[in-house]
Amino acid sequence: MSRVVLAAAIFALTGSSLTAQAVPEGSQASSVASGYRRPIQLRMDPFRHVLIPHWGFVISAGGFGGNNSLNVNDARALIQVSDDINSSNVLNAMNLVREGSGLEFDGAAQAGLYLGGPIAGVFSIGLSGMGRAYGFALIPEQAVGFLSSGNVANESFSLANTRAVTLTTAEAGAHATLRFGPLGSEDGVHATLGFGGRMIWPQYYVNVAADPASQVTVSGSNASANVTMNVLRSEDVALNTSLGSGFAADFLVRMEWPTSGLALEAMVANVGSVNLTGLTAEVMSVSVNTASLNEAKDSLDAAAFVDVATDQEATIKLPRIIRFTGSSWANRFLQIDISATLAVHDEFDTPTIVNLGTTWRFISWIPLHAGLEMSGREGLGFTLGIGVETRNILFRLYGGSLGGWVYQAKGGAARVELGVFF
Amino acid sequence: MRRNLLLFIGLNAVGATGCDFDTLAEAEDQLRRGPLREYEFALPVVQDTFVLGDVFDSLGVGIDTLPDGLLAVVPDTVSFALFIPVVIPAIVVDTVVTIAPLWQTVDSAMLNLGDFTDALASGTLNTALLGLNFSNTADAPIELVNFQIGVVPVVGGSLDSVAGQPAFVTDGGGTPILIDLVDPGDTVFALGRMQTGKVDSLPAASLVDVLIDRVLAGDTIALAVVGDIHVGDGTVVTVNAGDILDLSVVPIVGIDLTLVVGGAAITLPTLLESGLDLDPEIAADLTNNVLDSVGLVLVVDNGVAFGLQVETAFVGDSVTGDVFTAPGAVLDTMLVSAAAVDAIGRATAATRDTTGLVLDNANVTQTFGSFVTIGVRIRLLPPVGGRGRIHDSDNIRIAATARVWLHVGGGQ
Repeated sequence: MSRVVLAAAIFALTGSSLTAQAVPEGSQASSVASGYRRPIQLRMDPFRHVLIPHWGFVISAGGFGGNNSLNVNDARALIQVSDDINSSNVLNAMNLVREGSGLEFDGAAQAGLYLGGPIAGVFSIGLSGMGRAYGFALIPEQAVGFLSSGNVANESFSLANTRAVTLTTAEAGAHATLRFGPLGSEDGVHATLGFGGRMIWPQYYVNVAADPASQVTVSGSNASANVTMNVLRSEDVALNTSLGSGFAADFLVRMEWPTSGLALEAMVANVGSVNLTGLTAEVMSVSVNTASLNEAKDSLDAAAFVDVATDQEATIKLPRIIRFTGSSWANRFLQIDISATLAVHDEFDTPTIVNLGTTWRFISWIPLHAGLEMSGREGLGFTLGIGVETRNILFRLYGGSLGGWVYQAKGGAARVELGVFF
Repeated sequence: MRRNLLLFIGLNAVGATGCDFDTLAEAEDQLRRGPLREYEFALPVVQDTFVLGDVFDSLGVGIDTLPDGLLAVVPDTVSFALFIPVVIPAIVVDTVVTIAPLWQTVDSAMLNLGDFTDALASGTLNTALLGLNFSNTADAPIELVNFQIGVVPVVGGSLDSVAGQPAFVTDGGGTPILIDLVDPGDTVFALGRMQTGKVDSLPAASLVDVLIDRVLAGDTIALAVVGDIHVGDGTVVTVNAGDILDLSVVPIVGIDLTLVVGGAAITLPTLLESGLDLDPEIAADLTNNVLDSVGLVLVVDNGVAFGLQVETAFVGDSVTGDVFTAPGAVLDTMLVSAAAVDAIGRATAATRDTTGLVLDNANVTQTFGSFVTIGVRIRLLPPVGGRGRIHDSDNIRIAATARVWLHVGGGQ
């Protein structure tokens, strides 16, 4: 909390009005190309390179991951006690789960290569090849409640919605943009339309989910459990196209007023699905109804996953991204960005995320970034970054401490990019 | 401005390197940072109905069920052997001979009443039977005429006698307690040539009651049989010197007692049961960091005609000697009311009692070891009216729930 206050104070101390104003000629702000004004997203952004105004290639890698309850210190502690874990450690760890939410984990990672550039100043095209991974896990509060609140007030604990899913893919994409403007007058708006798509080949998939009717009931007179865990997974293979295929479409609309320095953007991306084939289904079922806890424990000990079917198919909706971004030059060298990424409640559940960022260009080609990220899952976090954006070289190193600062963080993000332009 | 930014970064620089906390205790303290919560688990321990007929079958003492369902204890058989007091060399005979008293000393070893010894001794028996088996080895029909059995003290190795007759134990009015050894409704018991016979259930409550009382009081007493034998039927018969009339008597002691107000004890053996056998580190973690207390709630639906006073004591690990006086023994007493009974003491409706026991940390750790020694003292308490009968279908339902109070968090 003290760091948040300190950050706000620094913003205040830097002075200057935060309202948009005419970008002075000769300022750092006036020399930054439009393609470099887009705020760097630590999460997915299919158009992050196609607006760069030079031909070349960019190698990039990045990822993020987080949860809603446990911070880095908690993870360190769990790892340290894992060799000799005891009852109090387990119960205390469960006590850290955020009340009202259950335990949620999510993350994604990406690494790949981009090649592209502008054509005739109004059109840009880019080709990309990358590997990507998504993951999400949820243990609902009902399922955690038994171990965190006892069973006197509530005897039944539903495991419905308990699930974990991960998908890794290989992707090949093509994206293009069209720039229009200035529209209306010399100081009018510059509009950019972006569109593109990615062919997706799944490499690995696993989905573990509790049957919606799964429930555990423990009272003073009876213990019963009717739990079915369903697993749908691919075999452990890599770099193949035999698991199926999919497609995702990406769209962008960006409006810029270079004279005033204001920019507004809307992006809808990752709209699509993946069809998976050749999956194996497994089931584990436990059904017990007894007045003896020992008998219930024996039944749980004997439970095991059993293959029930092979060559199964599934269609997975990709986590759609809807993001709105606004940027403005506050002064000669400070750009302020705000973006909001809407929540997705699907197989890969993502929360609403609001980013408030500042980019400082004391030297126009060396952007320094500092910002805040407010996530509906991790909470308030911090982002930092540095870049080098010259005619021939692109380098960016960005990171985020999500939901807290470093050891108090409930997640983290990082991104590195290295580009060479011809 | 730049200085402010560098100050911001510097103030928040990560100082620590490496992943582990300095000590395991620091790591555990980190996990304890959540809010302090105290909560309770209710866990089923046993929810079972104990049918007395099934329970008694497993007690290691002879148990029988009478036709009306009354449970009965069957101690050892008492046997008599009578050499037939005449020798007849294949001639026509029809004679009546008075036998000298047959008697057999009865001691406590022959009266194996198991856990019911004290209860049957201190109460008044209302239902007891004698099962009789006869065997005639002679080639001559025999009738037992006026055969009677009673209890007689043994003095100096001989039956106590009065005016040459056995001094049978008398009732409160001075009348000798004697049972006719004959089928009910008959006057004689007939055995054919080399035949066997039996009387299944001869009512003998007063006789068996006094037999048990005197034996368990340490008196030297005997069961004695007197009467006449009618040998022959006007046809040719043969009785050799070795021919015997073999008589065995089986007391069948119905659990149909009238108890005094104080009730009667049932002695149960000390139980050595398995404890939770927790690793000492786990046990220490539970008691020091998590566990506040453990409670046991018992709800007993008693469908048996007798109330119960149950005293329990348990001690962690194996203990020799009296558990109730062992150091650190955890003691508890529970009272269970008798079921409602009818005029003859048969249970008609169960009664419910609830009791609880709370074990603090020091006491609950007694169950963490490999063994727990449990002592149980049960006192049967009389129902309304004093008389109670235990039938094989009578049952006691016990619902035991453990209530565990825990606390987590509250650290840092």
